[in-house]
Amino acid sequence: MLAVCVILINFFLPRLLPGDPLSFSSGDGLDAAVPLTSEARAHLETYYHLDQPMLDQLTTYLGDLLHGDLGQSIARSAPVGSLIADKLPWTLTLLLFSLVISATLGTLVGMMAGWVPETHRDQWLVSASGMIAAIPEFLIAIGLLVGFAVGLGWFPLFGGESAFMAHEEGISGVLDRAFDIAWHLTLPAATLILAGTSAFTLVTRDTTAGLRHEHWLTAARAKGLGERHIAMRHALPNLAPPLLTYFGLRLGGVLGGALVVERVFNVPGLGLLGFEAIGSRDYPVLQAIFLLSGLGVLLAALLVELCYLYLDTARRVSRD
Amino acid sequence: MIRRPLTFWLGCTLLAGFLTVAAFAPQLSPHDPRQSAGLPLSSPNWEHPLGTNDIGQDILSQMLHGARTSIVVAGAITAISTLLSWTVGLLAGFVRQLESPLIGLTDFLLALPDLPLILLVLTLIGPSQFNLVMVLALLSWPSFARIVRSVVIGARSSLYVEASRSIGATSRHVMFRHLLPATLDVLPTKLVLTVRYAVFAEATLAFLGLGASETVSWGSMLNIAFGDSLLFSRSVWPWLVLPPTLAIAALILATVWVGIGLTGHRTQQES
Amino acid sequence: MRHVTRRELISGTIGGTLALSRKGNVAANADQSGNLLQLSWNDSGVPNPFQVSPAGPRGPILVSLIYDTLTWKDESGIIPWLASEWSASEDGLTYSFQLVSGATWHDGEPLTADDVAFSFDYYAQHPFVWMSSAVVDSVTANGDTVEFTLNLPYAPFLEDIAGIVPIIPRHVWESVDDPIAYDGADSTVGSGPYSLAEYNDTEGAYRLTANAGYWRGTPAVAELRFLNVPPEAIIPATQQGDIDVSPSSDATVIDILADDERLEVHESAPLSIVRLAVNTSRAPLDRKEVRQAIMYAIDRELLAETITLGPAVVGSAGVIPPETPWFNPDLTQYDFDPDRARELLGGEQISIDLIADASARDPDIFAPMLEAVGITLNVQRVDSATRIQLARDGEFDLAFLTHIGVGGDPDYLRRWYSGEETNAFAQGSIFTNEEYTRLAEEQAESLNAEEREEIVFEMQAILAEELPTIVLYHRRFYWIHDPMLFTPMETWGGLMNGIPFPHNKLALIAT
Repeated sequence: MLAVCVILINFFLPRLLPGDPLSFSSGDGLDAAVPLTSEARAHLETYYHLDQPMLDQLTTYLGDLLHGDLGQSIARSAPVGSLIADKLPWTLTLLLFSLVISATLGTLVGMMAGWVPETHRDQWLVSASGMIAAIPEFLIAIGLLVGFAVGLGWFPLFGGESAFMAHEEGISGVLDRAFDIAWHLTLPAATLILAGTSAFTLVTRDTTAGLRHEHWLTAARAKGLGERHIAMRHALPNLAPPLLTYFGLRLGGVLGGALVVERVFNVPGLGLLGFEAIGSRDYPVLQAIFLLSGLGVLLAALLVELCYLYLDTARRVSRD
Repeated sequence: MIRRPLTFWLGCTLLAGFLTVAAFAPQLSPHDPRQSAGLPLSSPNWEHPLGTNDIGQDILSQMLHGARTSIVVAGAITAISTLLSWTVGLLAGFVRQLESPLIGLTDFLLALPDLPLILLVLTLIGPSQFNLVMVLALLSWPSFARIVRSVVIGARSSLYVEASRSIGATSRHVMFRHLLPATLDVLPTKLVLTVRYAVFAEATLAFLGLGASETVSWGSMLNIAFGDSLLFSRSVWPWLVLPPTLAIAALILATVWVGIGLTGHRTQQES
Repeated sequence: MRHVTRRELISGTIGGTLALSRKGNVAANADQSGNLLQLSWNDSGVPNPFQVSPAGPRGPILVSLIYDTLTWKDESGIIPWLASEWSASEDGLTYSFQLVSGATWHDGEPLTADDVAFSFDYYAQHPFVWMSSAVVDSVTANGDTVEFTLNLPYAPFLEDIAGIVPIIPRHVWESVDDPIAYDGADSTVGSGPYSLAEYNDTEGAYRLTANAGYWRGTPAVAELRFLNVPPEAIIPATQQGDIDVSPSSDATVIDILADDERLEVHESAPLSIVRLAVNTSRAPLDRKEVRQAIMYAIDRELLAETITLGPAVVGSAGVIPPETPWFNPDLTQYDFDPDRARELLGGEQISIDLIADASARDPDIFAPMLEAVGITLNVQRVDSATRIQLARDGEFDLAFLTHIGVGGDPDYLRRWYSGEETNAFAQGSIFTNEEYTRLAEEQAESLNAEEREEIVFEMQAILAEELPTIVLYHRRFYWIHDPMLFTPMETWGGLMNGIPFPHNKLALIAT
């Protein structure tokens, strides 16, 4: 049911936009007057089935979808499936890596802050993470770009890897390439980590502070258990539900890409592909990206539910 | 007497400052923020204390009017979004009949990609300030609705709720006396995060070229600055980039500090 | 000696493995010193005539390096290319081209008259989006000559069709039914000075290598790399030596790069136009006086200076920019004269809607100027696809447009207003004038260059008087380049159909 709604919205929303995929414009003031004649336009409309009634287009789309065919991109004349397959690894690498780091870092800092609230440590940690969190992602990205790539020149100015670098065969070539990619993705990942950590910190800190007076904590203390032991063994499982929920939300967003960071550093990810597809009204690409990110959210939600189940049983077992 | 951290008062002062500036922006501004009032890209001088932008508009006047835009946008979005989060979260966690449709709606909205969807919808209906507020408010409530629901479910099964049920308390009593207070722990977080979300979203959308064009905002100022591919080769670039950046950071920081102060306040009352 | 960039020096100090890999890379390039040219570009799709992106001129320029055409242009006019000579019949309906000898495809097959005939037959089924060849009725190959029969006499034929439509290999395409989806390894086999070595569709980058056996001379640069650079990074990347050729539309680059020992700036002719398209069928813009009042009310010199931060090229009221082949220097132009504007309006207060792209800065400057004479401008900001749609449906009063493609053959002046063209800039051309239509049709069929010039001059005079489009200014482009590696070339009337890019393939072939 949910899936059907998502697919229908994915189909109709892009088509409601004013403009169409054959109104070419690069929008950077270097636009040329493409002498696109009426006949050439009509030819393309027929080729991409844009001249058919909406319902027929929908039937074609659904039919193709059942066969796993995502269609042909109009702006780039390439199959949508292969476009996405090209971009997906970049997005996944960048986002999963930085999400895991920010979640871990955020949880640790948040627990440290919230364990004994109202102390200097708490205030200091919360203010520090608050200060980083007070700068929007795109400004962090531009700041890092200007500082480390334009100014110091330590990192590349654009792209996901050095274009057309000849890598040797075998393991050393693979390592070379991995280093090159890591070098290119350092600043984008740093941006995402800086921007993403504070939310985890805040959620953890607040929940930890709220846990302080729970009876089982007092009980654990009474038993003479060490603070670290209590924190890791008893508090962490209790922190898990809100953290998991939040992690799931962020995980669900992974397949939507990280548009801002991809745009600033020109990382060839899904976010940028989608952004360009909105500008060029590339319906097949838009549909595919929205479908994919919808799936991502559903998958993440499922994963979170499973984790809840696991945690619940674990807790019940430990209580008994 | 409750002792609040110093940052709380600092945050309050800053917020009060922003509100005053926002309220009296037209009176305080030396120039019309939309008129070209001097030479393009001039450094700060007596006539233009913060200099001028690419077409000679006065940056100070734009900053003051931008404060108004940011506060109005952030305030409206936060109010609507928080109300929706709590209404949906409480109902979904407490009223069994509403649980599955509300969770369905929440999941459906969450299943739509955030930023791409906002871009798409704003392209569709046009990026006016009202549309911006509505779109951001209507799309930002689901995550906290879920969190509120998870807190409600946790509290629902806790000993004191079960106890008050067993002594015959009404649903309304349970909801407002036990469940609602239990969720208030996350309220400051929600407020802080939503104000931040709103200010960031406004600025980010403007950066991506989808800001409301009828108003001057900090985001649109940054968009104009970064629209210049020679920006960082120009000597005036700090005057174009830093004022709106610092203003955004200060507004968010003030909110965070006030938010933390409020959480601390609650914890101390309890103990 | 290859310029070692600061980036490489510093990256060499960061970590052992990284430094080693970079050094290895420098060594690999060292023997071809100066033979690698890196250009700032963007992703333009697979560079063949069917899959290249028609958004922006970069795709067709790539195609022009990989494929050849019958004629081409240098600094001063049309020159022979794949055709060594040609002749036209009296009535302008048949053209006969003599092919050069020795031209081959990148895969070694000889290029024959048969390929030329096949190309145009194939385009009749599968149009080349950048230039229509619909006026070609039939093409026959005979030995090494090709004979074209046209539907009607067409003055721009040699420049716009013979000079832009790429010749494709018959042995590749004759078995392809769906060229838009064709992905065979031979899909970019051309006959041009460069062949496509690699298209990285993830990064949107291209690597072109010199075609050593090119019939017209050996390409001067062994390898071209077209890299996809975001706008903010273009200038820093050029300064750091990662890019050797890049564009800017801002005159201040000349000052910014004044101290740079490596880079120079080439200033292009003002082959572009910033204008207001007028919906002449809507009141009050259906009155000529109102359109003229707008022209008088805007200080276009100040506007251009503010936006380009350089000397202004005030818009020619007749659309065709100065410093281009078809510009009429004797037009009555409009000076900045707000009193004259008020006089024309007769004290009337007018309110007009304007659609403009969200990033356009110009309306913020000229709206107050119009306000001063009693015209209130309601600026509606939209994205470009929306703007195109509104213009196509005639749902606008004024539309703010900025584009190139106005320096080449002037037949576009006819096509804009005849509704034949459906591109983004022809849309919104709403103007009916019998005299203009008659002249426009006459010039398109005129085979006498002087006579045609006279007609085109007259058309410009009508445009300048009637103002169906209000030309604000013409922009130059500033091409930053390393003169050791690349000498920019200013093509007559712009590359192909008026593109102000210096990437003429002649500039890349050793002479």
